[in-house]
Amino acid sequence: MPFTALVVEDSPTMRQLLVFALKRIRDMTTIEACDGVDALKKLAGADKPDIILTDINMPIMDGLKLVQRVRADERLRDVPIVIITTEGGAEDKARALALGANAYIAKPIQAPQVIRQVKELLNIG
Amino acid sequence: MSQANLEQHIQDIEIENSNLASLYVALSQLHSSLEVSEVLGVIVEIMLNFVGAETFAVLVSDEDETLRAIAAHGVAVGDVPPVANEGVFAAARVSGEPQISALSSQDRGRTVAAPPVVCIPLHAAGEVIGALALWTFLPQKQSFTAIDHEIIQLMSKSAGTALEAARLAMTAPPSPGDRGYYEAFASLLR
Repeated sequence: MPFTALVVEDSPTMRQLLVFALKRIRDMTTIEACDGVDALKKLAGADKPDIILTDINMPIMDGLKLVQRVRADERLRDVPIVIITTEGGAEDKARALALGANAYIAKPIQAPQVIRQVKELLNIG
Repeated sequence: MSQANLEQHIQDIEIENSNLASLYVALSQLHSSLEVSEVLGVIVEIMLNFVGAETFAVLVSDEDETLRAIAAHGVAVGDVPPVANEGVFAAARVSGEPQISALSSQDRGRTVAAPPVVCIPLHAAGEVIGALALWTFLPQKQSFTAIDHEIIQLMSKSAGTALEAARLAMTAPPSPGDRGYYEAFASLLR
């Protein structure tokens, strides 16, 4: 079964690393966006992704605002969201989860950790 | 091989794959641009996102071997004081090897006036042209892992070359597509 992940990250280096990790999941394709506004454009013009991975600190629109916008959109509100960020504090995590994120991973990341989290949210073995 | 051993073996391979991907992405991004500011941006992204460094600076050598910051994260470039070629900086320059101290929770308060926790000599064409100094790390960073050491070694060997290549490219015409681009190469090979 094919899956699509939207990767929202302003750092091209980090974005490439996440895409590399996600492509280790069978039948996974990726869409990339460089900030929240770019992500909303991609979401408006494409089929609904199966999962969204987003950074928090990004220019124009940050990841938390993106979470709010996605959760407020009837078409997208059930899409799982994984936050991947340098903000590793418990308060940051609690805030993101309260806004509707499903998982929270603090950088620096290990790809297997991201893969495990994505598979768990997509219910794939 | 038992089931437990097999699962452990698979996990080890996954981590190794992940580490190789990190190294590949870091290296390919380092050499993806010939603009000095873009190369510096990639160096900052790698140290922040891959290693978890929070306060750090890229410094290059002056004519008197004083190191001066050209980029920084977590501190303004102008607030990084010039560094004499001594202490951990001299050790990195002389040995050519990164100088890495153990991480401690007390490092959170470390300022750029103190010796860095990590000092990475930047090599280009067989010379040390500068250093990457890391003073503090993200709060969730508890210790250095094997991939941190690999990334630090990669930055030592390749970041200086990427910076020097960008500096030369921005000051030495012609560019691809310009008249004389082929001749510029050919003349260097004669």
